[in-house]
Amino acid sequence: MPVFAYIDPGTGSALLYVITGVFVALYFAARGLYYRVVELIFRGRHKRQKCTVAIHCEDPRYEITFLPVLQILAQDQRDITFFTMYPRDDTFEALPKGVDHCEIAPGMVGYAHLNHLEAKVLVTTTPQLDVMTFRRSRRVKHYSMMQHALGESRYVRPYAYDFFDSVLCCGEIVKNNIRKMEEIRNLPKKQLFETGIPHWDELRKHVVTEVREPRERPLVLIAPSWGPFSIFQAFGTGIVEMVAKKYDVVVRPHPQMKISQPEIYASILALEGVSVDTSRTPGEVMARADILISDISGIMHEFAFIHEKPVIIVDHKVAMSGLEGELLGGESELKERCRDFIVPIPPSEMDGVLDAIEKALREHSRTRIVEVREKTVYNFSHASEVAAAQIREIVACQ
Amino acid sequence: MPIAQLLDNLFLQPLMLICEGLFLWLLSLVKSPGAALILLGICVNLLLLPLYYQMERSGRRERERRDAMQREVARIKGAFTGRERYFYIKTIHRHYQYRPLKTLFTASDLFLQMVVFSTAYRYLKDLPLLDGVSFLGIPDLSEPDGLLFGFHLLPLLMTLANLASVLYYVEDKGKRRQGFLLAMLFLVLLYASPSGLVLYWTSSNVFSWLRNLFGRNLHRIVPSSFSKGLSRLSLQE
Repeated sequence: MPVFAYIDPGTGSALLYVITGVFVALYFAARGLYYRVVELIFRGRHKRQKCTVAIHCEDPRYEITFLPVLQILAQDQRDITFFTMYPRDDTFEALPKGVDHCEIAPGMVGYAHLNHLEAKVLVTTTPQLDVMTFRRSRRVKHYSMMQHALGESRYVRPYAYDFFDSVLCCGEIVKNNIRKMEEIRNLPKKQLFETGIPHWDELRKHVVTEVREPRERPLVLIAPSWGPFSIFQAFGTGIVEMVAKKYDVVVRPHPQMKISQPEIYASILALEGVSVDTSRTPGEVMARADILISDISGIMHEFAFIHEKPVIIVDHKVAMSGLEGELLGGESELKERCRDFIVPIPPSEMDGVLDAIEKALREHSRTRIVEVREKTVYNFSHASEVAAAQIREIVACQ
Repeated sequence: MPIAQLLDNLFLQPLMLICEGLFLWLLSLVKSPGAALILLGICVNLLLLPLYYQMERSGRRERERRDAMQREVARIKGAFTGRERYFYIKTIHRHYQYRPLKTLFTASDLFLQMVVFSTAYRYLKDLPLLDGVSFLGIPDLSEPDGLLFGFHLLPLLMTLANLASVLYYVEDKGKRRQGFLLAMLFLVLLYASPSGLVLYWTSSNVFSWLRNLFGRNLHRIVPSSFSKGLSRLSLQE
């Protein structure tokens, strides 16, 4: 007769806990082994694994975040390597003198490379260090996350910032969010720098500073994202035609729409009396437009805070399931702060978009935008200098 | 010497001596092996009470932590699948410093129960003093009782005591189902055991249940300052 038979039910749960523990251990050991083997296969002995400052750029669209910082940092910081997970040809802006470029493979192979890096500090825009992407290398002393857009940690995937040593925060909302998550998860406090958004310094150069006479027909820029939350997916291109009856319209479709939603993309190009902007960066068209209509695209903050113009945003309810916002609770603080000039319209009320445009243009106040910006974004117009100084400070402390 | 034998000699044999000493002393007092078995169940519980209390206190924090972790795992499981889910659950384990294999070595209450009942089992299963001894209608304490028209009554009483404990202490539906299943499992496993052994185990369980019942309702019977101290007798929340 088994001895276990003499264990009372109170201890039964402990017994089941132990049995579950054994099965969980076996499962995780087996699956972990698979990922270890995959990493070992991809791991290579690379010659250029050592530097003082490693900057990791996962996608070309983040270059605009790093380059202004690198320009300043490279003036007195030696031994910087710019790791990109894509090839960098002559069409890219040249790296500052003294900054080495190292192309690594995208995905797991590139992550395997980063896992064995040696550096004083690694700065990246890629979240989820030690979770889903690359692991902490024992030979990298400090990991820092740089934010590439204004936002909250509400909409990010789980554990986005948890294992970084520091975050170069874009604004106080993110800073507060991260502190709250640290409390919830009982994590050690990481260094949170008040940095800002370096690439906004660059975008600001395109801003038309002089005050123009109001146009007879204001120019409406429609710049949606792609996928299920895209304005065009939800309402078709009819919304463009409706707006075009009263205003001049320029549409800037998301580049991914051409690949993932080619039919919609083609119908946008076929619209009469509507111009389409497909230039590489949106700076010029944003400078010309008087108001922006968008959905969940990050362009809205740039348009409002850099160009100081109003935005109409389709107010989709974003499901928080599994995201950090589920634990943070409450509503988006950023949305509330910007409500006066980034005007949310529920999808059910999109029929009244013309009235909303008229009202937003009529009640628009630059002063109000500047006021909110001061409170919400750190170091507007000089974030690159601040970021460079903060990276220098991190290096000096290692 | 095999490891099992070594452990047996080092730990179980000395405990069996203590168990034997206690049983013989009780037998000398009450002169009835059956009554001595009931008292043995009660005395073992009383002697281990301080130890159980300490373990319960430290285990409570651990249980709260484990429950919080399981809630977080459930949240992630509801939102993610595949590779993502695997890495997130791994991260949760890291946050809660949970090592699945560590549970094997930290379940001290389980370990203590195992030791105590191993000792009782080893000592009582072949105890010559119980051979042919009748008690309260049980014809032979070294055999299953067969009191209920040929079916065994004591294992059923023991199961009733277990079910009462589960009903009284466990509120969570899932854990209650778990408790019921375990009670039924033990019924199947113990059904054909010597009645002396089941008598010991039943008395031990009934005593635990009464002790917790008493501890929980103490504040209704005696003044609060006094009941605080006495309620320490109760191990469960």
